[in-house]
Amino acid sequence: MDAELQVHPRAVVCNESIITGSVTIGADSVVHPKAIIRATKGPIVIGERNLIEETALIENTNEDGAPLVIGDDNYVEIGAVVRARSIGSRNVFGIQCVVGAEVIVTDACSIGVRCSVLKRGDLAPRTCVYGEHNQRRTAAIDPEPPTSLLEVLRKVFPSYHHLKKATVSSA
Amino acid sequence: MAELLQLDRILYECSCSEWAPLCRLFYCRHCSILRCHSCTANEIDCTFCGTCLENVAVGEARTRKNRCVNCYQCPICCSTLSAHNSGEAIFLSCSTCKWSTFESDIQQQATAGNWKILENPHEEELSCVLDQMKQYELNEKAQRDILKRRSNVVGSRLTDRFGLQQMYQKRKQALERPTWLAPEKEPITVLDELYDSHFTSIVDLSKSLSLESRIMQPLSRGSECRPIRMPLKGRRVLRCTQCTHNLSKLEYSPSSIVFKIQYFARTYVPEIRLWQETKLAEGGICPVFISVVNESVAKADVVLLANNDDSSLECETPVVEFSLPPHDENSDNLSHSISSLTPEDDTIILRKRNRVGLKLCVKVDEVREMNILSLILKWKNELTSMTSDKGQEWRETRVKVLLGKS
Ligand SMILES: [Zn+2]
Ligand SMILES: [Zn+2]
Ligand SMILES: [Zn+2]
Ligand SMILES: [Zn+2]
Repeated sequence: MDAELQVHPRAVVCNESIITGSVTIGADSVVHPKAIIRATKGPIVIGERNLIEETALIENTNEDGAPLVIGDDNYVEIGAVVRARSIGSRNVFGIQCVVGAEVIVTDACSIGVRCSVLKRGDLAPRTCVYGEHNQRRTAAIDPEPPTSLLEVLRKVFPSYHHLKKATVSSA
Repeated sequence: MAELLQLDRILYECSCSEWAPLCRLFYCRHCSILRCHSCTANEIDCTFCGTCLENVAVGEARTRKNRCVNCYQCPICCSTLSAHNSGEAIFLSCSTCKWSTFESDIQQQATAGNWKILENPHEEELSCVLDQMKQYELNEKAQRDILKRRSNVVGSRLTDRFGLQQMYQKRKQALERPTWLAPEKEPITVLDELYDSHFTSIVDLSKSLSLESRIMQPLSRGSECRPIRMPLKGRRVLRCTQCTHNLSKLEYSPSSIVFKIQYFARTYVPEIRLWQETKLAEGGICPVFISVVNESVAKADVVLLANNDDSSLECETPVVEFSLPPHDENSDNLSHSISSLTPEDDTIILRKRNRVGLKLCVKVDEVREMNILSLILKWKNELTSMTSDKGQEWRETRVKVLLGKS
């Protein structure tokens, strides 16, 4: 199973993360313990500087088996459930939010805490979903990427957690 | 299980005959009676900003229109805006809906505070009118005064040794009707035509403000937004209406949550709680399990009486008498040691420090939507009065226990 997992040498993937299927994790990305990444219907390709927190779930449920490609600088917070068709860059998925399988997340979107986006289609750049009733608006600026948090975690995790070994990508 | 802890299941009768859960009541030790929110006097003790906790004096709050000058609210969703540094300047943004000052006409500025808010374009005119009205008020007051003491108008004959001439002149001036200085407004006779396009053109809802945020900023005229100054909050002091003593007062600083004065009913009156959910079966005698706790630091003697007159259920246990030791703050609340597990009698079935468990028997004729068990609680506690001899008197209140359906 683990043979299908490809981890960039600069990525920090904790051993207690639950990763199944064909998953590729890019440079400087951090995957917390108990984060779940499931390549159920097709592979998952995660780009650079992404932060995936504990109990967050990323799953590929594309019926056609197409890969779920995730760009760079995305932040998937605690308990977020993300089953999108594709994800661009600089998005923030808030705590316990839900993103449906038919959603195409473009860039710099932010899904608020416990908000859900289930309707099929594109989430235009800088779309912000917020509040109890999943109101939407377009922001004028990108959400702040968790740069400093990533830096700290990249330093701290190797001293306190077992990590999944880096594999040199064959591709 | 959580249902048992619902506040409104057990209601106490206040001295004003309102019913409320014990934790919402106060106890005035000067009058030795229960007090609730509606029979206490409320006053604002300090005004403060809920975000930065700055204490603002009442007069200053009025000139600032009850707003904090350092904190700002999101014009879209009311959350607190936070300041961010973009390198050369500072901008504000909302962490909930991601509104930022980049969407307003002032995108960034050098300092975090002092953001321009929307101004009323008629501000100057309105204050001019206000000044005029004040002058009219003075004029009318002077006229009323002159009617009262018309007899001694001798002003012109006075020498000005005591400054009386000046006073007289001033009063004479006040009597003259002031001239209206504020610009007068012509009434509008022709209104703009209402075009059909108002109803037929497609509206882009994502560009217009919600009703809520338009109400928050009446000066925005529908589209432009600026950060809104955070409204201040008022902190209340409660007083007994009879003796005007304070019942609840916090320490001066708004950031402190320590009480200077607190007369909460729970610390003077034994608290009755449901212990187990009651199963009511029609036509039989059912047990009702309640516990009585003494949260006071003095011993409490308690008598519970059945009050079958206004009860929808008939209590077969006419009277229970017991005394409860004081609440010991140093004891470990989590320990489950039970002082006496063996039932003392049919009614008192458990004792645990300052708590007893009671089993009351209730006769059920008919199970209704609301089943009320009415009791009379009598208690004696030396702290219930300021004077020690009155502390030996029995206090009394009615208690309603709302039991479940079946
Ligand atoms: Zn009252
Ligand atoms: Zn403030
Ligand atoms: Zn907002
Ligand atoms: Zn009083």
